[in-house]
Amino acid sequence: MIIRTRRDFLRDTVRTAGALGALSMLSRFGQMNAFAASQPGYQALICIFLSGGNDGHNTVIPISTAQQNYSLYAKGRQGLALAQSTLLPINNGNDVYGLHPSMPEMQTLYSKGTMAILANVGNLVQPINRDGYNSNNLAIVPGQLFSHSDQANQWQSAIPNGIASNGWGGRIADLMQSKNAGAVFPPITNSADCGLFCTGQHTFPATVPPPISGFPGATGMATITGVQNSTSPTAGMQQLLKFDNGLQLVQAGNGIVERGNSYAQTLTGLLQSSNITTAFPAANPLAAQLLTVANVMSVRTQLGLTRQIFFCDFGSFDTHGSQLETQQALLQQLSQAVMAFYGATQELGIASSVTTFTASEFGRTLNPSGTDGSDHAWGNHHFILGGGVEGGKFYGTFPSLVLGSENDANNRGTLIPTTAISQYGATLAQWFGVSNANLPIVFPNIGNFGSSNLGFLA
Amino acid sequence: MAGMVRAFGGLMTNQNYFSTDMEQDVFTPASVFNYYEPDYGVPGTTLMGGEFQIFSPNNAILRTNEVSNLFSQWGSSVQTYGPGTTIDLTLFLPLAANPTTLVDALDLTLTHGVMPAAMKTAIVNAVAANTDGNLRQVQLGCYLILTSNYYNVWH
Repeated sequence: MIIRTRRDFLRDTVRTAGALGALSMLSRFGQMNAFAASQPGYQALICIFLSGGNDGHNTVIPISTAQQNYSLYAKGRQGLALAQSTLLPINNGNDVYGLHPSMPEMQTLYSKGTMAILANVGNLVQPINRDGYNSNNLAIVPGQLFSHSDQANQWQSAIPNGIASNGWGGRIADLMQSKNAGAVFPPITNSADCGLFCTGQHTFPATVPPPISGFPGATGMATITGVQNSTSPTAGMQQLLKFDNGLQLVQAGNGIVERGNSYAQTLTGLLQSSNITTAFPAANPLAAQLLTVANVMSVRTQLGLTRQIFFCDFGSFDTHGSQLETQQALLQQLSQAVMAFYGATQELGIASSVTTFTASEFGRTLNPSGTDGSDHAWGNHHFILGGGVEGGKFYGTFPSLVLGSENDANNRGTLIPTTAISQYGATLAQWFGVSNANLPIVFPNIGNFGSSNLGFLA
Repeated sequence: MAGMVRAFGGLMTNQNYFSTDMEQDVFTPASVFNYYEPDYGVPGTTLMGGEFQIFSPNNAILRTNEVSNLFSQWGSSVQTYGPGTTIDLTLFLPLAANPTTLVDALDLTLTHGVMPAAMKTAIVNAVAANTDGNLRQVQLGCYLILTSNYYNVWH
């Protein structure tokens, strides 16, 4: 009996491309192009998706502001309230807020002006108030609010009602194709499985997972394992990958296999020369993803890319129970990881060309769930980080924490967003080079909102 | 993975090592929504195909290699992969003398006897070109069918 373990499997799947060159003819890219040593105008967007719905109420807390004070927060949060003395103070003009106590690194980044906070942003069809929400009019209220899968799709597609087949990251990459002419690698990379965000109409992402613990290599990308020391499996597979019986799904699957093999072969060798010296925290899954992102960015010239988009999935933040302990650990990992990543972009000399931002399918209720946690809600606070960020201040409108206020959809502190995902994304897209005229291609409902640029990027 | 194993007499239990190799343990999905959404749009098409959400380029290669590990590497026609799970290719060995007959049998076993002619021809040719013995020929036939996207989509 042959006993195989997960470790055996992983060992097999991370064999290097060099040893597995039998399928090299499958590569779509062929020989690498030669590129100049420098590429003017390099820019990158990194989306950190806080899966599960991060609790923004305990991430950014009003301490003493013209609008409200800590006591109002504590009243709404009840047993989930963080002690005021533990909060990490940050200023927004004359207002004092506090970051979660496990985020000292992000406090530093904010105070240095390299990180901004966008308050109460979320999924919107158009600006809406409490009466509008209660109208249940699907023409103005996003569909399937509070559902993880639906809201993740809507966040990533920027299409708040209807079924989408691609996302705003992919559509941005579609529009920036001319900046990546001659590239030998996709402009979008995800380090874990990506939902709609990474797929465009013409752009498909590469998955570049972090290295597998205990195994060599700069990534965990797999290449096709040689079979039976024979050429016939390779030849047969090649024929089948070209097999066209008219079924679109089969063709789509064939394309994915070919891309997977091609991407791994292109990147694996290049990353052997990557030498990021910035220390990243260990045992931190987001840090591992962001180190991989930094490594891929370090070979951007060889890849022929002047515009790159990355997607990191991190969580789960779905804290219906044990929220205080769970979120403390996750936000600590987030804070430490983004600090290290910012350091890596400085090391690479591209800090001002890289903008990192957070997203999450929804926020959570201010009012506790009754099981030491909070429930699915709507609007949320997010972070934007990078050398190009006009940081050290808030954007958007911080909501009232009065239960049942005009900002509250259902008397539990379910924030009705006052800034739309489309506005958030459009600001990032414009910085990335998307023209105003093309914004509606990426964000179909951007015209429903007063401003398409929130101003947090220079 | 479950379908592949069951086609050759194996069982899928929570004791199978390979049930977690793809990080999609059949019995312990991360959420009530399982591993993918039914309305996921297939990249490059206007079709919906939920399974494609987890069929990323890298996962596609991992899956190919998993098939290789399960069906193409070993020196015995009977392999056990954990309690209750045995993949047995013995019945197919005598059929390898005629690659067309072998592939017809695998077609009935894996693709319900409706494999497209061009696909079958490609596999028969590959099996016929393999001179490493009947076990390797059977394994190769299984490997090519099970790694094909025709099989993926069918199942």
